[in-house]
This record gives sequence, structure tokens and C-alpha cells, in this order.
Amino acid sequence: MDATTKLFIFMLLVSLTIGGVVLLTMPEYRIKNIYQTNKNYYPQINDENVKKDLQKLLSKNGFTK
Amino acid sequence: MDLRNKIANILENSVIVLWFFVAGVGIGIIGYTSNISILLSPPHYIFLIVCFIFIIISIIIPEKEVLPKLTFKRLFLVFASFSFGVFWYLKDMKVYPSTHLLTKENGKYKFIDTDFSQTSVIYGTIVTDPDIREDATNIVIKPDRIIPSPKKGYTIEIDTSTARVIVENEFVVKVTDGDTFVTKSGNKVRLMAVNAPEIGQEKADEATEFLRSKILNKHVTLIIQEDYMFDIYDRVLAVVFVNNENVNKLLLESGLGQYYDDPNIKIIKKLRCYQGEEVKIENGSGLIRAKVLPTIGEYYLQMSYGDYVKIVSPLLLPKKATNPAGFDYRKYLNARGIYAVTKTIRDSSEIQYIGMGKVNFIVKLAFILRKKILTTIRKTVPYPQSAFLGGVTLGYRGGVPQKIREQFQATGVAHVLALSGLHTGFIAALLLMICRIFKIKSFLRFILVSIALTIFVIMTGASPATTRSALMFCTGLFMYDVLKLSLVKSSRMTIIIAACVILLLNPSLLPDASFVLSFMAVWSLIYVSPVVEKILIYTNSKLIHQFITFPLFSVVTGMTLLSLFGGILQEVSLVRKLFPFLVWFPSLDVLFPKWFNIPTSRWLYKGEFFLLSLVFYFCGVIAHYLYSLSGKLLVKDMRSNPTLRTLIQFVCAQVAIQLGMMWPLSSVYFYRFPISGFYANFLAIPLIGWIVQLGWIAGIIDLVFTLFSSLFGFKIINDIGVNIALIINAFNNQLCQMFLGMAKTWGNFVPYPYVEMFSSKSLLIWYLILGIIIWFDKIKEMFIKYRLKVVVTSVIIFFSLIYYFLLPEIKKTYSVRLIFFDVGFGNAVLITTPTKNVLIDTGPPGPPGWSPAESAISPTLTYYKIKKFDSVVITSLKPQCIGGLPYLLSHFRTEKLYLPHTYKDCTSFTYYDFLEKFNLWYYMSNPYLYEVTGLYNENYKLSRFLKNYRGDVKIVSSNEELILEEIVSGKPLRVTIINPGGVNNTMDEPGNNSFAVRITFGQITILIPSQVGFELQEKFVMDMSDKLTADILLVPQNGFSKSVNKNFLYKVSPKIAICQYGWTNQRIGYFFSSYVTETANIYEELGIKFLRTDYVGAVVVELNGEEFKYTTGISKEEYETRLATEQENVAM
Repeated sequence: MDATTKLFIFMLLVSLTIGGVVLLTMPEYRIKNIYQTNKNYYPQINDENVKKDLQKLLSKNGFTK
Repeated sequence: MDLRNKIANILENSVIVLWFFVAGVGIGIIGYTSNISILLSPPHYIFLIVCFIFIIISIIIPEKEVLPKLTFKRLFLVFASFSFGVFWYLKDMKVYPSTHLLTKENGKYKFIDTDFSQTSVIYGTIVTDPDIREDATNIVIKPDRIIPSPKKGYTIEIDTSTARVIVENEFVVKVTDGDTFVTKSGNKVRLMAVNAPEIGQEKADEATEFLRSKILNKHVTLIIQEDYMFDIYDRVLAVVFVNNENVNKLLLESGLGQYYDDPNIKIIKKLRCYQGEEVKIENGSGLIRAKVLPTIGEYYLQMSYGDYVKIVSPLLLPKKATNPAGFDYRKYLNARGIYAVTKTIRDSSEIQYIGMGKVNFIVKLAFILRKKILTTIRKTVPYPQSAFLGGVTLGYRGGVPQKIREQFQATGVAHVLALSGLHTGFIAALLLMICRIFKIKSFLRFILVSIALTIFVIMTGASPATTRSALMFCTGLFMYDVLKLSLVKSSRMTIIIAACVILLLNPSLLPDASFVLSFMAVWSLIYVSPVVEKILIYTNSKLIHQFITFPLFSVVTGMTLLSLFGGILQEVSLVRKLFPFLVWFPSLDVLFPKWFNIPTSRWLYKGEFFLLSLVFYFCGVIAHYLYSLSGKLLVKDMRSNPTLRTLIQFVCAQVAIQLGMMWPLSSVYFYRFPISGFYANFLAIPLIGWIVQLGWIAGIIDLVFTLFSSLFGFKIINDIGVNIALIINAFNNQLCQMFLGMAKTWGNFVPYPYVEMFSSKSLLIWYLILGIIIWFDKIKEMFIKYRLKVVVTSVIIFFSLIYYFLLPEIKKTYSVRLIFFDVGFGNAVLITTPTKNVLIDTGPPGPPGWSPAESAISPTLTYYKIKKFDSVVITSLKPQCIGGLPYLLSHFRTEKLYLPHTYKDCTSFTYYDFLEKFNLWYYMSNPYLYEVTGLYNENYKLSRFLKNYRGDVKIVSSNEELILEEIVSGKPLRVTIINPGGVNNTMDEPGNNSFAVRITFGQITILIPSQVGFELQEKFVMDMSDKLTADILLVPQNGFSKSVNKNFLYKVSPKIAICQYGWTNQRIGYFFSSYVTETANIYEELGIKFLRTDYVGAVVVELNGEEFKYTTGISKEEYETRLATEQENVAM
């Protein structure tokens, strides 16, 4: 395992560990609450609109009916 | 020699040739933009011819070395490259823009580069992902057809839901006139809701012919309203369709038919439309930028790349810089291929979605992926960290709060918010890491990384900075990985190859801030940093180690650690949760109260920062000394430790960036110098690396799981992906909090002063010295080996020529200069002499970052190298005069401030107290007019500011007050306040209680009665008529026609009147332009030249005591074009 691979794995492990600690110690850090804080931040960019955009593009290029 | 070595050799040899291409483009720009363009007066193709001649000579002449590694052949190639660079820029300037705008000339539409400000109908495709901001969205359109200056008309639409209809198919056998025809079944049919001219009337034959061409001998479909089938002549009333085309509508839109109202018609809706000659743009044109407000309705949330839209708006030229050293929006947009802007689109009738235009599948897909990754951020990172993360990973800058943006600027880490080479670098590093893990071989690695970086660049909007750095990384990877060149060689070659490719695509980008700053940052790292390391780290001088290297390291690390514990860590929620005691650690502000925070002092402002730096400096000196007592050398020992070496090299890299980019160029582009950038980057760079990489990793994990979930139909897979992203981003959120905390702490603690702007000549000298230091060894070698007196002499002559003839410089021949700023709806005049500066009024208020004081006055001060005001005179308490005072006094040292006698500290006043104390009886019955609420707001802000202001303030109550008296160039200069005393109980109390400023220099007199009201003008005539005569007059009250007092005007009888007027979005009692036009007419009738700053920009008047001359921010030609279009609009 070279140094780069080690660094990458180290970065992932650190983020997963500390991220896990955050989720354990802060019950308020949950998707539902976070989504609420972002309700005015780019409200037009959401899963539904992304899906629509993708479908529109695929149908225009003949990938779907 | 194998192919790889051959390519490497060619590239290596062409580096100098390519540098000269860049130099050629640079000289092209300087020559084109400077007034002295003698060298560039021949047509641009002459340079192409010269280029070919040089190439031919280089082929003919033999190889002979004239300089190390430079033969005659290459020397001629260098000149050829230089000439081609000049040609390339001039070609772009002289040929390309002329195809960008459309205008009408001799009744024909033609593409020429001029103003175009009538309403147009533009059809085009949105070609970039909409730039969504807090209050508006900016879109860029590639037009494919335009209807210039269309006529307003009507069109119709059929709506069968409002009444029952009968559908009949018929065959047309005869057309009787423009709106009537006969069918094979014998029915006489009349077109519904459309009237064509009767036979004998004008255009009757054309209408009949039109109808014939459409329907005669054809099958048509008739739509008939069941409850209104016949007209009074028993003709069938119908909407006629032929080949799915609505004939009624076509007749109407062609202008041959007219709509007629009939209350019985229910199935037709009348709509407004524009009609006119359509111009197809076949060979492409410049792009058009439109700002769209949410008020347009539903479509606002659906706008996206590839939409084909119709926009109804005037097409305008982007605004040029109107103040000296102001921001040139036109140049900025032109460098991005945008040549026109629309007015702000506010209504649904001004923008209409027509369908999907030409879309590049890959680009659209990249934008959809971008949106998908933003949805991951929205779900897993709370606001405002989400806005920060969205900005640094995907370039969504719109949601970042203004306060945070300001803190980033002050901290010198604003570059982090705009996606730049730094971010591309982190993405490239991440990609390389992944390639290494999967052991992908060099060539394939190069291909994969290049594709991924291209997608990244497209996704993030392909800004010049990201494009440049992606290009650099790909080229660098090719050199290093494929051609196996050394790291130093690869980086030196990639910087110039990337520059050339970008300039070949768009030479106008060369002076662009984004291009210059990012290239100079890389240039500093490649060329300056090794020299700094050599001087600071690898020198054997103990003195340098003792007094520079280690103390510098000590200051940077000490300040970083202190800021970590004194503010940054407290902002991290996990730290607060797990180590609550840290919250009790006092912040820097508490630890070090602002002992030296004297607002009037420029350098001691936030003096605690300097004090702390000094403490760490001496700690460093002492530590080094103590260490050396043991017989060891600290810096030498640090060199052998990899971690410490990296840290000290990072400090050197920061020094290099400050020398090579920040110090000279931040003054040119931002007028200010972020001192904390040097320290903050120590923490910011590694932190942002992890933030960007983790943001992308989380986004891509969620994306991959979503794809699998949609393929296999298990929702749980999707949930797993989001939750992994949540865990990663929970950590990333802590890093983001840390970063924002850092910007907040440093922004509050470290000064962000205005600095004197580097002139072109100073820049040349700065980089010449830097170049000599960088290439000192080579230059020395040349002197010894070649004794090239001729070459040295010619180099000196070359630079001298550029220095004296090409580079513009502020002329020093004047004695006294007055700048009448273009501050929109407000007043601000600067008087400068070789030794003194007086500012009269400070302009209106404005939003942070864009107030006239910040965007117009301060840049001009840095441009003219003005460090302080000897006096600031406020002639009236109206918002137009005091709006910029708190900002200017906080950032520029001021010896004395003069205020009108009516000034009162109103911090404790209620709104009605204010009305009463200021005798604003006229507004009592209608107290919420913007005019008076604005007056209250600005006076309140002023009072609050002056409460803590420790400078010298003088309230003017005498009739005459001398502000400045000195002898300039042997002639007396006097600046005096003239004040006949106020006039009370009028409808304009602030105006009639203000005063005027009179400037006399030799035989020239200038009068500045900024807001003097009608009644006070009368009092001036009565009491001070001997002091009114002037050559130049500032038109009172921003040119409001109701305040024009002819008696006053006769007494002053100026040659020139300057009117400071313009638009404002502040609620301060704005009046419309037509009032100023009325005033202009009165002045012009009296033979006075009237200059409006909204037309001509800032007016700079230069006096020598005997005569004066003035220059305007906008050229005469452009001013006249603008005036012509304005008059045309009025006439319409």
C-alpha cells in the first residue's frame, strides 16, 4: 500500500469516525432537521426537479419514450 | 531519440517562443488601450505579415548561438511569436466585436459595435447553468434571432374551453377579400376577430393576396363558435386552420389585419405581441446576459441550461467604468464573450419559455449531476455551512450570506469562495489518488483524469480560472506522467502552454483579474518560491535565520495557534459539545482589547494585531538565539525534519505569493490589501483541501447509490447512500464551521486597508526587479560568458520605450484637480492639490460592497495615491451627501470634518422627535415618504458613527469659513465655505439650511452648492452676490428642475454646469430623469454647457490657475450615442 492510498484511507476513516461521533453526540444533526435549515437555500434544486430534468434530457435524446 | 523525447525537446525549446506570444498579446492590449498607440497605428494584419517574414528568415538563416540555448533561428521565431501575439489581440479587437451587436443604419439592420437601447425581442438558448443568487438569477443567452425595435401589436389564441365549438372541414374555391372567402359547399366564411382593409383601402390588395396564398384551393379546418355562428351579413364566422397554422393569427401578426373587439366572441383570446422585421443571426454572435427576478412567476424556478426562450427587453451595452479606476463591467463581460445585457426582467411578459433548444447532452448531464450533488449537500449539511460547501465544491455562490462574503474578503481567503485553480488542484489530487489505488497506468491515468477534469470544469460553469487550471493539470500530467519530464520542467512548461491555449481562444482574457491572479499565483509558486526558499531556508547566513526566517515562522504559527484557540475552535459545534471548557477561553477580541483602535489612524487601526505580531517576532528571535547557544542551527535542523520542512516551505510559498501576486496586484484589482491572507492561508489551504475532497466524495457516494437504487428498485440502497454521505458531511460540516470561524476571527482582528494602487510603470519596475532576482545567476553568467553589451543595451532600450511611451501614467502636470464623481443620485467632489486633499460630500448610501463610497470614491483615492483627507466637508444633511461618510471616515484618515449647523445627535430621537427637531413640518401630514424616512435613517447612522468618532469635528455656523489656503504653482488657491445662514419654514429644510463651497485658483472659480434649495439660492443672491460668479457650477439639488433659481443662475453665469445625477436603489427620495432634462434645457438655453454624470460619467477638471480643462468618464462618442437613443425613446 503506497502513501497515497494510505492518505486516502486515512481521510475516509477520520471522516467516518468523527462524522459518527457527531451523529452520536448530536441528536439534532439529522437529515430532516438539516433539510429544514436549507429550505431557503436553492429551493428549486431538489430531488424531484433533478429527476424531471434528467427525464426531459433522456426523452429528448431518445433514451426513453 | 524516441518520439517521447522528441516531443519533450520541441516543447522545451518552444517555451521562450510561447512567452513572447503572451508578451505580444500584452503589448497589443497596452497599445490598443493607451492613448499613445503610435506603434500600433498600422492595420493589425501588418503584424501578421511581419510574423511571416520573421518565420521565413528563421528558416533561411543558419544556426548560430547568440545567447545560451538561443540561436538566431529561435530569435527570429521569438519575434515572429511576438508579432503574432500583437496581431492576435488586435484582430480580436478590430474584427470580432464588430459582429456582436445589432443596430439600425440607414433603415437597414446591421451588425456594428455601438449602443442599442430600444426594445427588442430576442429568441435564444440559455447556454450556461443559471447563476442563482439570493434575489435574482443571471442567465446567459445565445441569440439566434432578434426583432429589433418591434411595433406593439396584438395576436390571438384560440381557447375552446370557454364555449362549445363546431369543427368543419372545407375546401376553399374563392377568396373575395383579405378576410372573406367562399368554400366548395357554397358557404361564405369570414375570419373571426380580424379585420382586413376593405377593397380600395390601403393594403387591401396585399391582404387579399396574403389570404389567397395561404388558403386558396386548399383544404381548411373551420372552428365555429356554436352560439355565434354568423355575422350580420350571414357569413360564417370562423377561426381557420390550414396545415395546423392559424390563418386569423397569421393575418394579424403580418400587420395586414387588425383585431376587432366583439363581446360575443368567446373562443378567442387577445394577447399583446411585438411585430417587426426579424433578423436571423446565422454566423453566431456575442452572448447576452439577463438578470431575472423571481417576480416572473413559475418559470423562475424552472429555468435551466438549454431552454429556448423569448425575451422582450432593450439590448444594452454593459456599463463601462465611469469613475477613475472604477470597475469596468463591459470589459469583464466582453472577456467572457458577453456583449450585451438586457434590462432586469421582472414580468412574465418579458420572458417566455418556448421549448428546449439545442442542448449538448454531456453539458446538460454535467449540470444535472451538479444539481444532484447540491441536493446531497442540502440534505446533509445545515445552513449556512451548506452554502459555503455548495460554493467551494460546485461553484454555487448565490447562497453565501453577504456577511460571510465580506469576512472572506477581509481575511484574504475570498479566492476560496470562487472556484479556482486551487479547487481544481484538489479535485485533480483526489482523482490521482483514486487512480493510484486502482493502479492505473500513466497514459490511461492521463486520459481518465483529463476527462474527469473536463466534466468538473463544465459542471462548475467553465470559469476562466477553472478552465485554465484544468488545462494546466492535464498538460502537466502529460509532461510529468507521459513524457516523464522532471516536476520543475513540467510545471514551467505547463504554465505557459496553458496561457497560450487560453489566449488563442480568447486574447481579451489577458488583463482579466481571474486570469492574471491565478496565473501569477502559479508563476509565483514556480519561479519566486524557490528563490525565497533559497534566501530564507537554504542560506548559510545565521543573521537571516535569526532575524527573518525563524521569526517569520514563529509569527505565522503563533498567530495561527492563537486564532485557533481564541475564536476558531469555539465555532466548531463538536468541540463545543465535547470540550465545553473551551468556550470559556476568551476570544482574541477579549484577550486583546482594541487599545490602538483609533479610527482616524490608518496604520494603527486594529493595532493589537501588529502588537501581537511583534511579540511573536521577538519570541522567534529569542528562541533561535537560545537554540543556537547549544551550538546547533535551528533552521538547519528544521530542514532535516520532513514535517517542519514542509511547514517552513509553506511559509516561503506564502512570502512568494505575496511578492509575486498579492502585494502588487491586489491593489490594482481590489484597491485593498488583505494582510491576514499571509496568516490565514496557513490554515485555509489544507482545510479547504479536505473540505472540497470530502464534499465530492459524499456527493458521488450518494449519486452512485441513487443510481443503483433506481436500477434495482430498492429504496434502501438510496437510504444507505444518503446516510453514508450524512456521516462524511457531518465531519465536513465541522471543518466548514472551522473555516467560517477562521474567516470571522481573522476578519475582525486583522486590518484590511486601502493601499495605493500600483501604476503600470510601478508594476513594470516591480516585476523587472523580481525577474532580476529570480534569474540573477543566469544574468550573471551571461555577463561573464558573453559580455553582451549590445543585447543588454537593447533590452534597456526596449523596456525604456515601453516605460516612457506605452504605459499610461497619471499626469503630474496639473496644479489642482477636481473630481466630480459619478455616485448615482448624490454628491461627492474631491479637490486635490500636490499636497492636500479635500472631499466635499460623500455620496449617497448603498448596499455593502456596492455603495458609491466603496465602489466609486475609494478606488479613485487609491488610484490617485491619496492616503488621507485634510478636510471632509458635508454641505447638507441630506442622504445624498452623508451616505458614504461612516465608510470613508472608517477607512481613510481625516484631519477635520465640517458639518452644517443643523446637525444634531439623533441617536436618542424617536421618528417624530426627529421630524420636530429638524422642523420638518411639511412632512408631518405624510411622514412616511422615502425622502424623509431616508433622511432619518441616514442621520441616525451618521449620529451613531460620530458618537464614537474621535477626530476633529467642526460645526459651521459662520458666514465664511476658510478650509484650505495655499500657493500652488505660484498661484493662490482658496477653498471656502460660504453660508448666508439658513432659511427656515420652507418645504425643503435640509436643502435651505445647507451651504456652498467656493474654490478659487488664480483666475478660475468653481462653486459647489450641492443641495442648496430654491429659497437659499435667493438668499445667496441677496446677501452674497459678489461671491457667486463662477466658471464651473455644480448644479444644485442633483438637477431637480423645481429648485432651479434663474436669479441665482444669472449671478453665477457659469461656462459649464456639472449635474451629479443617477439612479439609486436606496429609499432616499429619488426623482425621475425628466426633471433633470428640464433643468438641462434651462441651462442650455442660457448657453451653459450641461454635463450629467449619468451620461458622461465622472468629470475630472484640471486647473492651472489660468484655464481649466475637463475629461469625462465616458467618451464623447458614446455619450452622443446614448443621448441620441435617449431622445429617440422620449420621442416615441
